[in-house]
Amino acid sequence: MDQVRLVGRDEALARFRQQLGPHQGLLEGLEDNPLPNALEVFLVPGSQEGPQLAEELAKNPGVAQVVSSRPWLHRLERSAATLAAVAVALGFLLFMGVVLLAANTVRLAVYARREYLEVLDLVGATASYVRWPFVLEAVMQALMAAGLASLLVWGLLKVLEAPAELPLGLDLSQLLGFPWQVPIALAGLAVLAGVVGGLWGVGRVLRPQGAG
Amino acid sequence: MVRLTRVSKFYPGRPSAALLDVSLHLPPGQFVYLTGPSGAGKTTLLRLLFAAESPSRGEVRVGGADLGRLSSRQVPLLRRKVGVIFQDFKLIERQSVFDNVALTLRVAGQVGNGLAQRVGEVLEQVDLMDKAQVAAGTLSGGEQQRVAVARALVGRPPLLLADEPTGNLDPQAAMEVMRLVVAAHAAGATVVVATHDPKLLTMVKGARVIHLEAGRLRETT
Repeated sequence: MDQVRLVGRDEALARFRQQLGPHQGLLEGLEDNPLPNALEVFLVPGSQEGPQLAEELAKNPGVAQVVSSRPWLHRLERSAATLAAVAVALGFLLFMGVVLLAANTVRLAVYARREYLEVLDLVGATASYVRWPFVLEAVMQALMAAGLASLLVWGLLKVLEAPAELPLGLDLSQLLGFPWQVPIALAGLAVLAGVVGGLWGVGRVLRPQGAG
Repeated sequence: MVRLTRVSKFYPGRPSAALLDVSLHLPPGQFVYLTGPSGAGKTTLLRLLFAAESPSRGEVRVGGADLGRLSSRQVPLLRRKVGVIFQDFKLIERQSVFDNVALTLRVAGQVGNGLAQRVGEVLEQVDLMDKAQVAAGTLSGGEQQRVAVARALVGRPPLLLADEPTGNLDPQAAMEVMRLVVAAHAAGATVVVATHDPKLLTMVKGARVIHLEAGRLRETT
């Protein structure tokens, strides 16, 4: 166990009233507080002893009922895991799309500058001398795109969390987080996509053509 | 400086060989004219010498290096030792004359005052110092070919290859360009000039003339 907290009847009613929000008029007709005193038991994160503890607590003569949020949490965890798997798959597809896009963009840039590259090749430029400007260009564009995407996601989340509290006291801002690691991870993935796509797109250096 | 041993070159889809069983030795400091009609294999032979092509058979050696065994990393190092002049100049037209010439040194990692000084020297030599900051594409054909000569010479290559260097020029501009090529030879470079212009052959006394016909080599002098 991590923590045990006593929630008295009055506190429980106040909490329920707050959770009902604009519908708290439903409680107007109550003559008595029907809610019992309760103990809130918090487990150490990751603990697997919840069901056993619930069983033991239920045997206690002073305990009328043990309510566990575990089944609900399990369902939420399963849904979250499925959503995460879908997000990873979509992210991988998007990443491959970005790599292909970067490769094609760089290929077009190479084609547009093929005469310049031909001269570079002729005067003895190494492959890296020819490639890195294109790769850097791809990386810069990918970084700018990552910055823009982070800004858009941040703005979208701000709009979504605008009604600060939902019915039953749910706070959307607790579900829709935007940790500071997100833009950094996006930038890292963008750089990786730029480098892979850029190197792939440059391909082999053009060779000078002769007269015959 | 250059040694070809039984070199043949075949291109896919072309029934006859571009070069067939060519053997050739060019000692350092030699001036060689490579003559023959269009399609005789002159350009193919020059392209073999700066590793733009590899032979289908035989061995090509330049400066002691077997070009057939060069790794892709070694090819740029070879090209820094070989100056090449083309009939169509191959300049970066939007860049200035200075930048076109400096490119040869920049790709070799040279920067700063040394680079500017060497480029200035070569531009003086080709009489284009006053046009150093002019875009190369705006110059006349003769001037553009002089920029190409300057670019080929700025790295002091021991081997200079010229593929029909006067093919697109009027007689006066052609003489100017050949004068520069001859000066490079006088400074110690081995020079190979591919041409089908008989007038050029009289410019260098004692020059060796090698004739190519249908990919086969025939030495005339």
